[in-house]
Amino acid sequence: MGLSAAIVGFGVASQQGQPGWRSEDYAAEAARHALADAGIGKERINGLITCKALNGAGGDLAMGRVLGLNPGYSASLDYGTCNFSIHFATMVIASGLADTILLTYGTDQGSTGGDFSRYGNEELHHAMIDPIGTMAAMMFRRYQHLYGVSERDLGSVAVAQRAWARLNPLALQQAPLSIDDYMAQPYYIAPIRGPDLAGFSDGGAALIMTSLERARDFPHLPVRIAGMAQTAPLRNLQNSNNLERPWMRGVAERALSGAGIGRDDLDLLMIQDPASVWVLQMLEAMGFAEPGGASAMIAAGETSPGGRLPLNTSGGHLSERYMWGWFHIVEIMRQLRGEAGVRQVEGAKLAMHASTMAAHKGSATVFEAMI
Amino acid sequence: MNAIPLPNPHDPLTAPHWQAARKEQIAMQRCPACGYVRWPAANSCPECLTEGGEWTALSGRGSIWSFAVYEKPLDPAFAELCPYAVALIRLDEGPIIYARMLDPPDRLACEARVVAVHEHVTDAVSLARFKLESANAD
Repeated sequence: MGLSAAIVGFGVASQQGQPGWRSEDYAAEAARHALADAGIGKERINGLITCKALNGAGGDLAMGRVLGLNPGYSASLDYGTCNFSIHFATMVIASGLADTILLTYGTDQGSTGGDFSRYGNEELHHAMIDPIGTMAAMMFRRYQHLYGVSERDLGSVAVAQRAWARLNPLALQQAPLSIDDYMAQPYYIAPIRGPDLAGFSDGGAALIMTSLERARDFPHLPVRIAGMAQTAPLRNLQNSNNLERPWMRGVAERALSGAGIGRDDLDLLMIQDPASVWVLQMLEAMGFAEPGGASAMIAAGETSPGGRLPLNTSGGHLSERYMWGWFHIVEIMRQLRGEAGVRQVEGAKLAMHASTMAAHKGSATVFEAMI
Repeated sequence: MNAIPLPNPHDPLTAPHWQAARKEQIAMQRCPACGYVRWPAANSCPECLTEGGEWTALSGRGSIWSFAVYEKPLDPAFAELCPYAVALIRLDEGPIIYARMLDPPDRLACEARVVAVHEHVTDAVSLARFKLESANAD
């Protein structure tokens, strides 16, 4: 289908808990690093796409002011978890509205006490306090009912991702986590435990995207957007079994076929994981495991360092930090450039990121190193 | 000490639902054109887009799709209830709703049959809770 956009720079905010810093400041620090990585000054940016934080901060009006930008085109997404922002930038580039785009995300959710309980959802308001934790508990209870797996099986997700996080100096959670350590944790909301949910912190990430024609004008190996797909099951609970995310199968198949590859061609897979059960559901919905079989595959080490399908190699939201998928893309950039240090997946050339917005939206992107 | 959050029973869209709750009924809008029963409340049918809806008392019966158990409170207002379960309930008429279960959590299971029991929380607000049908024999 001839997508024609590439990522040519990335940056992350290296700090957190800075006195007086707000979401926009973390996004701005990441933007400075991304510009430096791409070897360009801000005057080269003619498009700005920002992802608002959970609390609404970091829109394009705010970021344009903070970064001193008057771009030819700007927009912001209310829910711009990284796949959605990348897809939007790819469309803007294809349309000709802009050809060198800065994408930003920043959050002060660690300092301001942000957590999932602030994730507003009118439908849930009277029934519960933490919609993501509660959804995760319900999803896994249902999953147990369907497939007969145990809480210990669920624990394999957090344990495998912690093994990757211990190879990532930027991961917040570095302590060893065995399956027995996991089982010794109290329930957060039964049947899930603390390690089943993402950790919150301040932070930010930024990307520079441009057209394929210009991609090789930048100093680092560009990463091409090879395939992308979305779905929007906005009717949520009006859809049958919506919380099982059955619609991710079509999303993954379209993203992969758009890239002209199959599942087995991927060198690594990043799955957005605010809660561990998301990973089981998506691995199965996308066809990487049989229904009910994902935890056995993870427990067997197939997704761990040295396994056949490296999964969430940064530690993911569960162990690295909750950054709305942006650090998942940063990890893909590091892996495809060969800059992932001791956790480098040898010869990584093709990666996919799959993400969902609660159970209202799904997306996947296939990335290819332009070797 | 926080208070348990309560709905506004005078909201123009949802007032009929809360009035029915006072009478210990779960009422939702049924589309006059296609018969689809919708939740949450809305001014038109999400299935066929016909405007309006007939507030209809449902059976108050359904089955548990899944449930989560709070062994410790995430908000102090709920401390006295612990341990309690919140369930996603598929009503016999189709809609799926969230509600608190009245049974001890260890007696619950996915697909168990449940029935609504209304709690009159204040002079103006009544909320649907659910209990296992099998507990009816008590």
